[in-house]
Amino acid sequence: MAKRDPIRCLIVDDEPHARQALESALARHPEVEVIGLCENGLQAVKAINEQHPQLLFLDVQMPKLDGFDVLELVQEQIPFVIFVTAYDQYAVQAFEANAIDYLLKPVDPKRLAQAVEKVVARVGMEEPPRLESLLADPVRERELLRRILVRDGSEVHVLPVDAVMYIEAADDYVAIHTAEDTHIKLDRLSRLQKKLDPRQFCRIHRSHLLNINYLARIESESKDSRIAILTDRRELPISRSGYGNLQKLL
Amino acid sequence: MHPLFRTPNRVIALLVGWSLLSAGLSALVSGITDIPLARSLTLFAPMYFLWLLFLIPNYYLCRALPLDKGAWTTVIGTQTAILLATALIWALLGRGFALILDSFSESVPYLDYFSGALFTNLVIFAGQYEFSALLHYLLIALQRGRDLEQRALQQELLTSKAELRALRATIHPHFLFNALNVLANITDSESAQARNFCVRLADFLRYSVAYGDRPTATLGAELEHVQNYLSIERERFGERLCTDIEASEELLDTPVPSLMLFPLVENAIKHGIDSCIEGGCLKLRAGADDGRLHIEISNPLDELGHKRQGTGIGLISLRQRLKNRYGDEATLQTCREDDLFVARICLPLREASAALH
Repeated sequence: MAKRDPIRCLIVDDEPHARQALESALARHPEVEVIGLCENGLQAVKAINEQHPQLLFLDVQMPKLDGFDVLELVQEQIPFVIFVTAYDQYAVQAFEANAIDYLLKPVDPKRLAQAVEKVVARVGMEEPPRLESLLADPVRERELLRRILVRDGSEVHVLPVDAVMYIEAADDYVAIHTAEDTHIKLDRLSRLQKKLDPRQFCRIHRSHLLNINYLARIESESKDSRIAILTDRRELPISRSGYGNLQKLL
Repeated sequence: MHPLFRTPNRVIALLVGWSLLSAGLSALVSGITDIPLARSLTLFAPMYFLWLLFLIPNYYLCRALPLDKGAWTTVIGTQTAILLATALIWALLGRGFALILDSFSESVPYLDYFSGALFTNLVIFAGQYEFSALLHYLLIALQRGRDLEQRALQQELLTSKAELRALRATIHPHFLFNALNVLANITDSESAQARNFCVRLADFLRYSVAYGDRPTATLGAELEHVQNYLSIERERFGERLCTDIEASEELLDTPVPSLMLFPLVENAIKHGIDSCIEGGCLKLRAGADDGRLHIEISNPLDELGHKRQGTGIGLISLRQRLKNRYGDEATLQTCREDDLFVARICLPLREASAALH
């Protein structure tokens, strides 16, 4: 095999000892090069955005952004992920998420060597796994969101769903409107809607999902054309089926 | 509710028994005075039956005027006043009833009979009134005894539940995994620190396991226990966790429910400091004033830091334990103060002996 540049990797873990231990264990594997240590998900998003690593050793349980959150935010920028977790309740999830491997803490040096071997083999094939499926986190699919994560370059915003006034579909993106700002996120409106509380968010239009707490009143222009007036006087169109959805909810 | 009304059978027994008693009393009065038995039954039996209506409510009066508060004069005065009032009402009703009977049969002097036997009847009524009051006080005392017993049992149950929960928290896989993990990471590089870590972990586990044998610990032992826990977590959190614990020296021997602090401190770490990306400082203060022990635990909290919110079961069960042990004398309050979550416990420095079982 021709000599290759080492695989550039990031270690993301909130526990200092765990970072150091993994770093020193990886020192025995010249085929990977640790280019950075991140203490939390926010740092990880920033580092991934700026340093473009090929491989991530990703802890699952971290404050603010956990491992799955980090992946959600940087899906298109990271080719290979190895989850590192103390509890194997995440192992199944990690595999379903198509991670290249997962390691249990404390990390067994032999298992680490196997995982590194797998990555080396895959890097040669130049065919990164489909990251779309990395996000199919089965546990989270069933849970309602309390917050929406959006990324603006290296910066991550954590929006409480209660602060979201409405969400607008725009091609492959959604625009999330709060009273102060608008955030763009790579996602589909229907997918996002499934994860939001149906008693709070109503699809009033093909391209508008409204938080009904911000609905001030409904005005009708004609029999089939109605407009939602929001608490800050913004106006949104209501489609006929959207009006039906609203009536069911109110 | 009056204990005699609790089941239908009791009500029936009461009505039958009281009817017989009324008839018997009528016969007795007929013997004492020279009223013929049939007349006595007609006139007095319904009136004696009526006493029931005066005596039953006495139960509530007895409950409102407990004997143990030491206000004997108030109790006797009030009871006597009520007795006189009800006797007067009864006498007036009886007179009315005799008048009605008189109007039906001119030949029988019911009113004279009533007036003649009034004194005897009032003496019997007073006797019955006092008897029922005594009976009610006795009932109330028995009931209170039963309540206390029930509370003691409940306390025992809660204590064992708390013990179970504490045990589960300590041997909780996550906690043990985390501890093992830390140990694996530091054994190579820092062997002295690793040994120290093991000692802390052992102390921590020992205290939790031994809890079943002692429902009461000293504040000092409790503080040591949470400090062991915090030193284990500090290895894991690194610089994200700082602690600031202050308790006055003279309070360390104060008896407190064991494992009272652990759920609060565990909460502060798991749901508070771990939710903050920068971590933060757990502050614990123990002080006393006015015969009461005050403990305050505060920690930063990022409400959106975790995907899931805590269930609050730890807090609920601690509150229940305090209530069972101290009644209204102890409180556990939690609140948000800016970015901080604050829990405050306040309990009497000396427990009332009645509250201890």
